[in-house]
Amino acid sequence: MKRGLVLFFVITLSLFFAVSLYAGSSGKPPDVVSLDTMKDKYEAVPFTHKKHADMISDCGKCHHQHGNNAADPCKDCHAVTPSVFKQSVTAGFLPCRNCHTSPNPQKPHLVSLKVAYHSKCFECHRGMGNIGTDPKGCTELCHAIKGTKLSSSK
Amino acid sequence: MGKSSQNPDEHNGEKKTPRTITRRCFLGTVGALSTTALIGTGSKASAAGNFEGWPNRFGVLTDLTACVGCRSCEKACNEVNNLPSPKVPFDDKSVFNEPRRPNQNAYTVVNQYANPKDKDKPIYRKLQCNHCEEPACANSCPIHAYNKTPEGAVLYREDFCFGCRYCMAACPFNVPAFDYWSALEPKIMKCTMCYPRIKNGGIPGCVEACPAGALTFGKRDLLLKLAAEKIAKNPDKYVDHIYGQREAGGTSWIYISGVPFGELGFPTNLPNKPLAEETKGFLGAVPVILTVWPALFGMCYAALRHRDQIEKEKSANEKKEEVTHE
Repeated sequence: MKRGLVLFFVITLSLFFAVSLYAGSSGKPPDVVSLDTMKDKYEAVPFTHKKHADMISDCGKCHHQHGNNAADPCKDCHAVTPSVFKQSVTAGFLPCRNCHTSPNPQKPHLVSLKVAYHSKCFECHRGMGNIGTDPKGCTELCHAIKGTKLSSSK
Repeated sequence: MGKSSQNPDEHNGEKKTPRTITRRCFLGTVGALSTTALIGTGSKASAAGNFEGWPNRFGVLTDLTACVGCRSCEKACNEVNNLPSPKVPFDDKSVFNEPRRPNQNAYTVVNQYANPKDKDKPIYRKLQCNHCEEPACANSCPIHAYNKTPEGAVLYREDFCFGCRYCMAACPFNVPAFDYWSALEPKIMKCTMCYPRIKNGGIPGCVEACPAGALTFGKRDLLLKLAAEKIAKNPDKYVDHIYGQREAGGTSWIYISGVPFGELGFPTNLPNKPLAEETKGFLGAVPVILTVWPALFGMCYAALRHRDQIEKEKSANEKKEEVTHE
């Protein structure tokens, strides 16, 4: 009985340390993220995360868990805090796609992953290049059609 | 009338006429016919007025501030509905040079409008069937080729249609398109809200394709709430109006915009009641009038003719008597 109790504590402690180490190692934001959920149609978008983070300097602009996002409806039911995100054992960081899945008619508030990404990008990039004036703009500036190259990256 | 109906009574005792209409018979018939007419129109009006739409019906919310004019919706619609490939490719912006309307080859089209707030960011408006709550097309159709499904979609059946095109004239949004290239087999072409997909729990092709979040599919009542929330959160971004909430009695496809809807080609002169109500009284009365009025006026005519006949006979008799006296 005593041995079992000790074993239980040892396992719990080692798990705790493992999780903390894992979370700690992935705590640093990545420099470039490859956005490739639509790789069957378009080339992956090399999203320069560090560059954007430095430029905007408010992580809450994109990530619900950071900054002042008290008005976000998801927080009514889910504890969306930085610690919850970072201690997610499966990914070390709760990815957008865990909540933003495919469109759900029952939850029109919760936008799909595609819309979540694009609407964030368009906040600044609409008006850059031909985005917003020419349907070709999207494949010129951000994601080339599969097998081709962006015309902006020569 | 009193005089005319008195004459036969007086005359009946003296002489037998071929057709006799008594005062009692005439008034009774008139009364019965008028009551029938009144009951007929009254019940029709109240039955339609109590229906407040199917519960849990779907709709689409279009956020006109979000659309970037990528035409993905047009492309997806074309693929989902197996429509012919367009002459101008879907990534060609030359189509924005002049306004288009949905036709037999494209159930949805995107038009470009100048943005009075920021001329570098033009506004785009996607046109398709708005799937009215009480569709004027369905009401105008003489043979019920249209029906409003409980899911919200307004569907057309080409096997019923005989090509009168009343629906095209009735639609306030110029949506139903006639396939003139197959005029011998009349066919109206229009958006179905991807009914086969939504029936199986899916979402319309255009909504699935939209990357910008300009289109949101869901239960109409939830979308109305979402639209109201968006406007309340960003009062500077949106005009305080949800187009389609009440226009023409309400539409399944609703819109929020950053500029007044009139500037984007939306019809702003529509009443807040179903267009069918403008004509319901008249059209409801047509069958009643067609059956009751001929009978009513036929009776009057018969009565008047009868009186004339009696008067003629009377004067003829008087003349005869004068002749015999002489």
